[in-house]
Amino acid sequence: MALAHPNRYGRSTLTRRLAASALSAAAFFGLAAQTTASAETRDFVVRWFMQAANSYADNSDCPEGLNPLPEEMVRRQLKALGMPEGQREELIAGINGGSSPPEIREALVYRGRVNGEPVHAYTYPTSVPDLPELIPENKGPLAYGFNLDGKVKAGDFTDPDSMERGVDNAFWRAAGCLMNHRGTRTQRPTHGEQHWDLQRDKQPAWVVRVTADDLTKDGPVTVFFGRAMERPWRDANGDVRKYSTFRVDPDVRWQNKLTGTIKNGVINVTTDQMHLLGDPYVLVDLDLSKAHLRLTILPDGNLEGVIGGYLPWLTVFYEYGSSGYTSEFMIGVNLPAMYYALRRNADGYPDPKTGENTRISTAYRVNGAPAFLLTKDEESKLSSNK
Amino acid sequence: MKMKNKSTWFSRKTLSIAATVMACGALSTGAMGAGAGLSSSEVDAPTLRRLTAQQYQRMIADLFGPDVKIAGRFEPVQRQGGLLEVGTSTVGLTSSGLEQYDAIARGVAAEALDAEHRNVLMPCKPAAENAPDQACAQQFFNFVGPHLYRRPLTTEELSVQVDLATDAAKNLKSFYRGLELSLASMLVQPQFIYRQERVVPVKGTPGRFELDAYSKASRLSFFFWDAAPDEQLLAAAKTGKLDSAKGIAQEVDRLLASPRLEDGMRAFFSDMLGFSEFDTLAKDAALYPNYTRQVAEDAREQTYRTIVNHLINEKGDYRGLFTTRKTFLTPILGSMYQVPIAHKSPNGYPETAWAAHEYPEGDPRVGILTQMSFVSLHSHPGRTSPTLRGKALREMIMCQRVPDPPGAVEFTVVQDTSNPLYKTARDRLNAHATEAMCTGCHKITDPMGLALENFDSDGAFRTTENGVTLDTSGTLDRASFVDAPSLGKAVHDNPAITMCLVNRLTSYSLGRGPAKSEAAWVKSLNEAFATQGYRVPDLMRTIATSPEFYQVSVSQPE
Repeated sequence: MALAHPNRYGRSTLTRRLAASALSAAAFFGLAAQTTASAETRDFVVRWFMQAANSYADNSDCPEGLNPLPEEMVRRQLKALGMPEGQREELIAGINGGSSPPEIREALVYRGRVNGEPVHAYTYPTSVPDLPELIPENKGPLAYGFNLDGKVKAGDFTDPDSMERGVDNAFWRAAGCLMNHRGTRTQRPTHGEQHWDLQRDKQPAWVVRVTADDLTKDGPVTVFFGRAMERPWRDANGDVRKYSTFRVDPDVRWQNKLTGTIKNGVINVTTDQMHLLGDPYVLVDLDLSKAHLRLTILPDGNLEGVIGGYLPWLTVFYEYGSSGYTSEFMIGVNLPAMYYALRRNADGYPDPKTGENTRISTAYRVNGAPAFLLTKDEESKLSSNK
Repeated sequence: MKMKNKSTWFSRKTLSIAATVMACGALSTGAMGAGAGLSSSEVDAPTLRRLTAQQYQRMIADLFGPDVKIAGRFEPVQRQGGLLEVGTSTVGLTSSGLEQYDAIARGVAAEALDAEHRNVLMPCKPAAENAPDQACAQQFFNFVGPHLYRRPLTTEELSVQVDLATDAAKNLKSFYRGLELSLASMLVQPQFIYRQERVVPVKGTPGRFELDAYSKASRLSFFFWDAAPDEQLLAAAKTGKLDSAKGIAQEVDRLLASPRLEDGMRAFFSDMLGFSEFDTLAKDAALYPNYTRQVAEDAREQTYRTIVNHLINEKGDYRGLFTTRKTFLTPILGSMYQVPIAHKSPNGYPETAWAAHEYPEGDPRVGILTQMSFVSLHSHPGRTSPTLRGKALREMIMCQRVPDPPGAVEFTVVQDTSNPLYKTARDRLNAHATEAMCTGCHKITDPMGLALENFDSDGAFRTTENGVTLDTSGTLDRASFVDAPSLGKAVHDNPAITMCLVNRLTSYSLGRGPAKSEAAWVKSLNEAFATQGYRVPDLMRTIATSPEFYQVSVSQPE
């Protein structure tokens, strides 16, 4: 039996409406033998998916300060390039809001040097010396995430919700003092507001289906994370529209059929690998190793939670690097410094040849809005019912 | 700069002609009895109706192509007798309104005769494109003229247009620019903007008059298709086919059998249900984030589709519109109704793909009163309004007049949805109705509106307000109901709704309310409607094949 969001319609009405969806839910997960006829299913469309932020209001988690404002970052970078102060300040004086003198752009974009020749700094970040002081590290003890390696080590965080110790979130260590990443559970970071806003309009929606015998009781649960054929529609406030219908992308590469447990209303899932195809400009592929999910279905029918795991750190870098000079000049994130910070903090999956870590632990905050998902079978059944 | 001067000269000249002819048109109508102090609903007089925006657009699309843009807005029409269509027979035109028509006309003419469109439109090619060609211009106006004026041009009218085209072509050294400016001048003439009805004496019955054949053709085509007469109808007028009952019946059958009947049905119900108000409908996004412009447009279209499907495709009983479970939804409407509606195309576009949907037995959505179009249109931006919904039902569906509220009424208690003493609209209205001057009117509106309280201001379903379960019971003219579906049944069974439909449809077709002298005809229409199982197309046939539909009273010039 399907139950979807009883806050609007009475249970009985929606149960009938969604009967077609529920009937094939078992087949969808390949769990026909385990799923009873009374299984309860909730569908969601992802409305927010960005690195989970946990900034302290007094910035005490960043004792070395935050990254400098764009103008100051440019000043320090030009100084590092050896530009005389007079020339440097003359150029900086030409910065007017969102526009900068072309000489600054030229100097920053081609500040890489290989054999003394200028090269593109964002394509070849190692051609630029590291300036670690431009990306101060986060020293706070609290950050969202999971203990991915099973150890409690120096430098690990504690999750402020679950209070789990040994949380591996090296990304937050590296980027948690960037101004555009500062935020909380309820105050979304600027980086996410900008990037996710771009991403959700450009890419097919990410969707979630949660199924259990009774979602209000402790017990086994199945969670499907996948892609839809459609992008999410917006509501009048620019948020994702609730109760939209999405057809599930049948491409198995982006279907994550996971199992876990519900305890005290919290859904916990772990899996070796999780994949979601994203947007090439923002996040090409959410390729999470040792993925952990902690989700809660809220009384208003929405979904909230945290997803953690190890991502290839180079993929994370290109989330910034692809916007190049715009990122640097508009938000003051020195991209080669970011490259070095991510590489330095990478904490998992060492390359067998070099020994250098290829992945970085991280955690994403996920929010979902109630939706209707249709597999191919469900879509056919719905059509034939009409 | 030289060109601009010439255009200005031309503008003055054409507008001056338009104004002169318009004055003449008004005078001639006055002489026929529709003007000078007489309300058109008091006598069965011929009418002078201004084209609605939709009719204007449809005429331009039919003649010049659907891609020709109408860049501008027309002056609004005041609703009379419950219909804008009746309002069009008394509406005038201000000088600024005429300027707007002129601007639109210039745009339409330019596009209709641009290089892309002229090859399809032109019946001839000019001898030279940089000089006048009177013969070709004449052919052109002989072709477009009858479509624009809904009758053949008089010799004088044709001559005026050809002369204008010739003069302008000479000045501008361009045949097509000349033709374009002359065509633009036609589009601001009252013969085009207004549907003028002309009369002729009824043969063999001295002192009685009826519409002439071309006026009959116009009345028929605008009634059935909301469009100007097509070639076949104009030909029927020309050959005298419309002078006989048999000929009229044949044309009526043809009009009814055409897919364009859907346009006419949509136009009528849009008018009757006040759907022009959708143009300015808005909801508080903080309270109703799911209600967007697209939702409003789809909600309106949903009701059109429901009506067309029920009345035309399924040949259903008109009363069934209030109890039908069948409708159509888009994916975006599905999100509002919380119904899964699958996209059809590979990547989910277009968003407005429609799917048939039938609500299951027991569902609270039954009939058009429970559709988003009705409940959201008759609500405030931030809250529902049982009073507005009940008033709309009384006035639009049952043709009963609900008096306006008195000027000195205190509405605060109704408006404050956060008052802990009055958590539901019923509580608030009960508190408000303790004022004696309010009680009477609220008794006739609120019970039906309260039955629809399960539908929020944005049309979404709810069972509670401020945590209190909603009581949706009440009575309508002694018929009891407990919820929206049973209200739909009570409306279905109320004889006022079919009488109202006959009244509205007759008024819509005539451009005025039925006259006292037509009471017997209206009574016979009501009887026929019942006999025909309340089939609206059948009622339209009965109206259009009645002699009364074409007969008019004409005051004699002194």
